[in-house]
Amino acid sequence: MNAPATASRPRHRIWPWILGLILTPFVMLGVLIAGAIHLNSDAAALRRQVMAATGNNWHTKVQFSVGPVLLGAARTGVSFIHDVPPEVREVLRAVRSASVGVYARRGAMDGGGRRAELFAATDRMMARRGWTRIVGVADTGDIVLIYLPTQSEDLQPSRVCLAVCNDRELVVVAAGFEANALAGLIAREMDGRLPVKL
Amino acid sequence: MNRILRTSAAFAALILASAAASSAADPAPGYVDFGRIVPSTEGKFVEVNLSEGLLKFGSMFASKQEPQAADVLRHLKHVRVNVVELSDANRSQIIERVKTVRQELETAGWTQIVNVREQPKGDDVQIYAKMRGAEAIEGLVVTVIDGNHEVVLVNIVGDIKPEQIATLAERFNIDPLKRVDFAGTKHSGT
Repeated sequence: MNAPATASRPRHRIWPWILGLILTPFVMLGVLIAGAIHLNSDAAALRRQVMAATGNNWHTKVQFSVGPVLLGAARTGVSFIHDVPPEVREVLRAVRSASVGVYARRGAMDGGGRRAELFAATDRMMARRGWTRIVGVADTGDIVLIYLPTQSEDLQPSRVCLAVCNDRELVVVAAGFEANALAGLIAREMDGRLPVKL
Repeated sequence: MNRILRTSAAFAALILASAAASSAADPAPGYVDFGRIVPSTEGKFVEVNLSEGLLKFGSMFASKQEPQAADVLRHLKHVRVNVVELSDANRSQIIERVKTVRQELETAGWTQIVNVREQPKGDDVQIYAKMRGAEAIEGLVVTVIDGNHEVVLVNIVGDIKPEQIATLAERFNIDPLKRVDFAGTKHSGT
């Protein structure tokens, strides 16, 4: 009378898994490439602020980011090569991440007379993101702004964010580094002399 | 369990907040607030603000070749330098600021250790020290009005021995400090 109970075998959908496995490397590669050609968020915010204050007529010349994975791979690769200068190895050991952007100006400088506003607005924006300016220079069109993390003021610095701008070019850098390795490198390059002259 | 965690977190936050508030409220004794100095529309402007951590970091560079300088740096807590080129747009405001700083230091009992006035319109250099007993300096302030061209303000905070001033002056290239003969004399020029 009753219909025979058919034990339905669970259907394993294997195709989504295969598709996922095939696509994952491409997605990861896409994410890596997207990350590598964009600035990190602090550098991007600094760039936006400086560009906004100096006129928006900038175009990108170079822009890239390298993170711990890529730098670790580079360190590993370099360790197998014998004739690499020791400075290169030390730089790779000291730098943990780097985000660099170089921009050229199209046309005349705009906002050159608003240096006070540039300093104040950039300081405010960076302070909100946890950065404090340690150096600010404005001299005949050249502007240099260097920031360190506010929270680590009493510790050794491990990150830096800076912008250097003149009437033709803007360079923005955000870098993470290992303080002791960097100190050793700078000490050797400076022959143990302080690089600071006020 | 959650309640304990919440209470602990609140307590930790309270301690951190009070620590932050107290450190913000009590700057080091030799610290002087020059106020906010911003670049004007033209002319040179330099501002350097070095924290204790950064100064210690700097001392690491110099420990081998310049041990004296490294030792001075290790005991510094803060260095601030402002160099402002004077123009018609900022001259009166900046000079007024320097005079206010000088008055405040004198009122607060700082010792004037250098006073050079080259007339007319020459350098006007005044250096003040905040002493801790006779053995140590907790703060130095260098104020320079270079004619009508430039103003320099320097504040060095830390634990500085009088005999280290020469190293400090030489190392950071602060010319007015090189003139200091720390025998407690004031230098007046005309």
